[in-house]
Amino acid sequence: MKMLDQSVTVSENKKLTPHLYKISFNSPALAKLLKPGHFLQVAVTETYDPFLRRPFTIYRLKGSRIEILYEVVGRGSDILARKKKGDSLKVMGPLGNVFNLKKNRINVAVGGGVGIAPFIFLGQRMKIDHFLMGARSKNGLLPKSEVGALWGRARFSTEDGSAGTKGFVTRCLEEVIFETKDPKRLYLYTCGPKAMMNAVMRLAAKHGVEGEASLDERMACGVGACLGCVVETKEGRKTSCREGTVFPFEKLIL
Amino acid sequence: MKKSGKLKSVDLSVRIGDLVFKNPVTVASGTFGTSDEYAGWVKFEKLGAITTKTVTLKPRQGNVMPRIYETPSGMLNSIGLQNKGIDEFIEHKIPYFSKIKTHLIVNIAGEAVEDYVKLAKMLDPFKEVSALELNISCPNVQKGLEFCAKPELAYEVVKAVKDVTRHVVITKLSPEAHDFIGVTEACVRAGTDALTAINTIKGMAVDVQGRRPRLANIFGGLSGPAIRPIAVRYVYEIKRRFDIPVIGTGGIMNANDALEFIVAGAHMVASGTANFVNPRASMEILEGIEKYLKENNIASVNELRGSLRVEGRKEELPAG
Repeated sequence: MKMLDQSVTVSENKKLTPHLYKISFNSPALAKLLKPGHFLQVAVTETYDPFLRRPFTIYRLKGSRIEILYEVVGRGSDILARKKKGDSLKVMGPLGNVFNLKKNRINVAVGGGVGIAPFIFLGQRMKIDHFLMGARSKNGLLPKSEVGALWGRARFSTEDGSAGTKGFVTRCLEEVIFETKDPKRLYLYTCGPKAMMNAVMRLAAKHGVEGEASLDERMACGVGACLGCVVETKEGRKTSCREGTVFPFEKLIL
Repeated sequence: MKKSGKLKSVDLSVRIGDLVFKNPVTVASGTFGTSDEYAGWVKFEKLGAITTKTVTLKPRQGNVMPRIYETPSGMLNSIGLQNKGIDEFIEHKIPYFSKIKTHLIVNIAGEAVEDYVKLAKMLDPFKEVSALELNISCPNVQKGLEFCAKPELAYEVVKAVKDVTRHVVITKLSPEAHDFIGVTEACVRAGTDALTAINTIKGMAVDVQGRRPRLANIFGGLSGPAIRPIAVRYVYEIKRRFDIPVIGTGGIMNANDALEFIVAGAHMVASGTANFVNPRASMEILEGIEKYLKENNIASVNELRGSLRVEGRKEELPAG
């Protein structure tokens, strides 16, 4: 697999909601290699301060324009939020494995918070039948302008009830499962906080629904070298950066 | 050292024991994956040597998560020597590395002297292995630091391995040893062919909101530029007392950092944590060392080694 590490120029950095930001840059070489589920290791400065790179999944591709969705959670993402058009970033990738694109299933994307990001890209490459998005409040939900064509298939939940169903996104998933004649035809794609993904996987197991989860543990290298980001699987500890980020539900130990 | 930049080619080769390395750049154990993780960015055969992640007798699943935490100019790790064990290494990794035309340094660790001896014996038949690096200084496993805590234990393990192997033996030291010079002396006396200095330094970080250690293992090994001055000091302290080749490692991010170690006396340098944040770090270090030699009209890296000029500089306080 071809791997790149290149400097790119920020073409846009936009605050979408009080919690979500989107940063964009152009890279024809990288864009050609990217598939849904891939992530990039981004150096937000050239000075190794902060020291480590930050992993970000691909949110959307528009030709050679690559978009990343993020929220400000610490120093790295805070520096990212201050980037202006014309500033540079160093990006390394494509990294990680990719989602399995299922053709003859009822595909359900279940995203928690910024974990919704890879499913916009997935929706560009595959039909998503149900697009479920959960957040603490409406400030953490993607706006209609960003969800685009998937809006008609979208359901929302917020913990504070400020938009959509009040509660966790698993309530939206329960609705989908109960509305579907043969739930075994459903195939889930999930990404988000660990507790949320665990709840999704427990619900899936209860109804015999298959799926896959994108797990991003705290990473250093992003390529499988440091072994800092392992997850517990039925085949032992696996690196979420290289052997993941995508794991089938049945391989994971909750 | 004139800045005229006349030299078209320079000699980068260095010798440790019977081995000639094509250049002085390798990678620190545990920072370069276990096979092709960095193949997308690094031409492996260009490295002076590849140093493997620690191999143990039995497979180890490593410590529980979280295992890493970012710190100022570095990181803490408590991976816990996760590896698939020596049998898998011999079956899969040696054939993989044997295709790469450079030296292979296999880093080994054990919980007892016999473990090191068994590992050395198992690796002895393999011509593909150039050297053994004895990890007697891992802060993340039980007994990891024991062997380099006391000179007599360090002597025992190095001697036992030397007695059973035909490979070059390199001993990796920890700055944690209270009697570092005593441990170094013991390793030299036991016949180690070279030393690697330094392993990570045991550290700790606290999440003050949750009042919890940041690492599941509570402690971790600190690496990165934060420890570089300490590593340079250790290399220099070893070199001014002992005539033994040293592989310098600890926070080397670029050629300039690497040159600090070489000028202080290191035969070779290893990029470690740098690989995690710049996958081409080892290649850039190599290119930069070559450029520096050419620009400064130094025909061989061996001329540069230990060329530190200390006239007019004097240590007023006793070290340690």
